[in-house]
Amino acid sequence: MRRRHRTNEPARWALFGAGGELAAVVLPALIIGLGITLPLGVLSSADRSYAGLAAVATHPLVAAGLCAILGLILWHCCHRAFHFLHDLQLHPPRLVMWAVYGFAVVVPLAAWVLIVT
Amino acid sequence: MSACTGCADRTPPPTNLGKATLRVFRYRPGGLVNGWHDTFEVPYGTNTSVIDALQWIKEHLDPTLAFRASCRMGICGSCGLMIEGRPRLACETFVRTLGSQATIEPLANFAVERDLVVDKQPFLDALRSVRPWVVGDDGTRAAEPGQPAEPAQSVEPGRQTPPQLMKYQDFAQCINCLLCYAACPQAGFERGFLGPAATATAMRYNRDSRDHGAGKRLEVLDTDEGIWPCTFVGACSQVCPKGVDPAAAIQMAKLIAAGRWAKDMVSHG
Repeated sequence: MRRRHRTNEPARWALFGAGGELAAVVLPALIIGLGITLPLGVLSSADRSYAGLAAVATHPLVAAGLCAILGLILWHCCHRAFHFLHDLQLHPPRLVMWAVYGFAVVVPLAAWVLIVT
Repeated sequence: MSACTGCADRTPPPTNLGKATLRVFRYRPGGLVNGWHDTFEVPYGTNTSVIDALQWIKEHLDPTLAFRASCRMGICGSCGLMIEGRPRLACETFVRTLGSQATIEPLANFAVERDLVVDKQPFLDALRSVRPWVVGDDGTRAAEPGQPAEPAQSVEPGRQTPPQLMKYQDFAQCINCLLCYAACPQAGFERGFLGPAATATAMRYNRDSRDHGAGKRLEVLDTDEGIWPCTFVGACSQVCPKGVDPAAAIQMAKLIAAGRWAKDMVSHG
């Protein structure tokens, strides 16, 4: 029997999968809604909708949800980027792994702190 | 005596299409060189497969040429080769479909033993590690070829409904030809990687209603050398000659492993 090593990859992969789902489903809707139709005033006046949305989005709970969604998408990107290093046959030290995944955790947290303060 | 007189009416006689040039990889263990290519001119017709061509070379030009072949009908999985750089079954690849000069090499990502013959032992070890048999509810195995069935399994036949069969039937089509390993970039990087076919076989038994070995298999799958080197390139499923889709099997195994991880987190804090 070959010797095998347990891994914490399931947790990282599960978050990666969740981020991928959000990137495929939620992100396009956010871009179309917030990035295209509202600024162009398709649904209502752009000025009014911005003010209303800004008020909602900066509410601590809503901001936490948005940061979580975008954070998971960022985690997805970081996970893929880290595995891309493996595809390139680069084998960076564990510190790089902590830095890559840490980036995906710290950035959405910092964004949430900046929004609510 | 003809076995089928009607077949002779329906099947057109093989047409001679001329000669093809095959560049065939050669290797001798312990030699001074790491391998070379020999070029052979081979007559071929509409029905000449790459295996036929290699056999013709062996019989007429070079009896020392080594390659694996058995059933000649895409069932035994012996004749996987790199044909024009792609992993393919030599028995299902016709010379007429190749260019005027085709390169035939042993399967990528495996150690070469001689000419076109690769060492399958790492795969056989990986396959055995996932318990490729129906594990009984008391942890025993059902009968393996050459071994008597253990009593707990031999008493009752394992009956299944068609939907239960459908759950694993696709994965059960694997013929262990190893084309998926030759196509997989991770199998080249990670020598210990469990790989596509072994994982597909593990999922074949995990999804079998008669089996109780999923927990033990997960201990092998959910490791750094198990399913996790896979980055879902999907090349394994593209080259599979039996439509097994081992990439899907690996993703299913990842989902199960993630679920088990979450369950462990809840139950162990």
